[in-house]
Amino acid sequence: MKIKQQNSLQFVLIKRLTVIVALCWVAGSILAAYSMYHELEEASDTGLVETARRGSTLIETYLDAHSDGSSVVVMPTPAGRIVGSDNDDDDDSEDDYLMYQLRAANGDVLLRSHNAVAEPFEAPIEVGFYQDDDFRIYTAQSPDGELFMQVAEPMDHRHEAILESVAAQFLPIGLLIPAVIIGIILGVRQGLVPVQRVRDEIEARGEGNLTPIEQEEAPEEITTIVSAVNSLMGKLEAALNVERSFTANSAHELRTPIAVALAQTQRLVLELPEGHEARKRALQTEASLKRLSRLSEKLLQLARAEAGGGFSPTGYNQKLGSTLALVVDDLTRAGADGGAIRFDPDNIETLEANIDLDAFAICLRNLIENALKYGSKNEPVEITVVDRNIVRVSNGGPALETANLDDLKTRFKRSHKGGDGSGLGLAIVDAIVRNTRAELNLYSPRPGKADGFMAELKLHQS
Amino acid sequence: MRILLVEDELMLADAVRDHLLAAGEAVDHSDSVVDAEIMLRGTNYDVLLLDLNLPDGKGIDLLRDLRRSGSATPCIILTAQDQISDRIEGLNAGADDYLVKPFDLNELSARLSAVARRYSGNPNPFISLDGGVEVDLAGRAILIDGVQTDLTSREWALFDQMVRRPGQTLSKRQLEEALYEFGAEIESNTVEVYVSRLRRKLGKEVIKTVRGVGYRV
Repeated sequence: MKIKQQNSLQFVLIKRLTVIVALCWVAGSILAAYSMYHELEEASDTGLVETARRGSTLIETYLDAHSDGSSVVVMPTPAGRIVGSDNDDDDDSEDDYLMYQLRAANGDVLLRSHNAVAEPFEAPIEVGFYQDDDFRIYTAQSPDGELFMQVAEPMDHRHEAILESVAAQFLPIGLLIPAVIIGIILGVRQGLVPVQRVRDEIEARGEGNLTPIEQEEAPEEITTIVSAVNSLMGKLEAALNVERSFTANSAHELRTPIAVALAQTQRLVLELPEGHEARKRALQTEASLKRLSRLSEKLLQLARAEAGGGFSPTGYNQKLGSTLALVVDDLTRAGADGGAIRFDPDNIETLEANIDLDAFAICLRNLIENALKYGSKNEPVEITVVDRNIVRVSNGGPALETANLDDLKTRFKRSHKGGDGSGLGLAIVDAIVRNTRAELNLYSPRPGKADGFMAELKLHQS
Repeated sequence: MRILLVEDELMLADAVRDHLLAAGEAVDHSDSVVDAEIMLRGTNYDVLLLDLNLPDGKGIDLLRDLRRSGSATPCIILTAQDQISDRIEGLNAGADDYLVKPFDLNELSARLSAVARRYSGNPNPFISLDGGVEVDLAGRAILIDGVQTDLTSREWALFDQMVRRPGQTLSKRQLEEALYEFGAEIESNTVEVYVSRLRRKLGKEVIKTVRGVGYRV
């Protein structure tokens, strides 16, 4: 039985687990990014403060040594590069992202770093942080209170640093999510193996196989279900056994009185002199009894077939060659409907399938009887065994309309008008075929010929 | 042929027995396993017709016991059990044929003859005898130089016993047993009377008298 993927427990579990894990991961990453943002802000601010406080003494010393009292002193570009810089291709000013100005209490710029703007920073001359759209600036006051060191960090740089940090955090997550999904799929599949085993076991039951399901390996969560299914199958098997027993007993009980009536009528026919008025009626009664006999036989076969079952008692393949030969011999000796049978015994020893002998015999008997009844009397019915599990029964006669072939499997459907068949033969075979996972393929005309009919019985292999 | 019919359905047994008697066979009837065992011990039957479901036991067990005791009496099972597995079980138990109820009485006769022929060692139903006599055992017909000769059922029954075993001498008692069931009144010269009639119809040279022993063809 095919299960729609959307309704599969495995699919639902994988989908939900993947979504939950991904959402948790994303939420965790957002929280981590938020925390990282604040930590980076704090670290950057600490850097600004430390730079301003520790650098101010050195800068003041440099100012004293180089100031002419009228112009702004510009610190030279530092020689060499910053160790560990990522921007090897950029100019040096890109590396020196911090810039500073040493300002007097009145706001005049006395000294600035080489990368700082000539104009004074927007920040007021007071200790503490200042931030505008372009810079975050910290102002430190010299110990004598005369000078103010302002260290500025471009906001672009800070944003870039935060973005790179967050990206560095998300990149491995993005790579890991597919791996996690694969892990979830494998884990769920592995975890659901016992459930699938139970499902397969239940699926293998149903028709013909009602043996209890093994509970030892069933997960605890579905042990109750398995117990319930076993209990249900037990009741079902008991009910089917009652039904089968009833049909078997019915067959016996019905056959005996018909046999009595037929035998007595035949005696009556033989004892009445030729031309006696009652002889014609006795012959009609005999014909009706024979028809009743055939019909009751077919109805009981159909009842048996529809009561389920039909697999080999062992649950495995069994040899069918001798049964096939017995049925053919029986029908040949009975001279059913006067037709001849050509039986090709090649491959008969290899014929085996998972089907009950009685069910197999009923199938064959009906297929051969049909061929004898409806096939051409000028051509023998041919029975051949192909491979290990295919039996073909073919006969001559006019080809049937292809559109009608499947209809022949329905009850009381006859291929020929006026035929004296019960119209149940192929319905019986079809019921057994469905119970035993076999196939019944009908062809008309026969493959390779312009006329006739062929029934191909493809039996189930265990 | 002397036939034992084991069947508990009396109306069916009556019809079968009447049919076989009309064909000149001698038929004894039993409706239980116990009676059948007693009858089988006392008489050499040519064929046993056996129902499987009997009031005091299974016919298949009776057949198994019969085969275990070494009896080779031909047996045809008559039963309402129509499954192939029942048939296989019956044949494996030692049955020679299996006829499912309801059956045609003529088919029963045909199968009886076929089984009897197989046991006589000559399954061929066409036999040629001295004097241009051609016998069709299956069709119960006799042609003398191409002209059909009719026999009564008793005449046929006696001739049938001998012609199935050509060259074998059958005693008068053997022929009487084959002709008459239990309880039938037998005249002391019945066999001689029928042999005489047969010789008139078929020719003197067909049936030979073995003095002090019996007759043979």
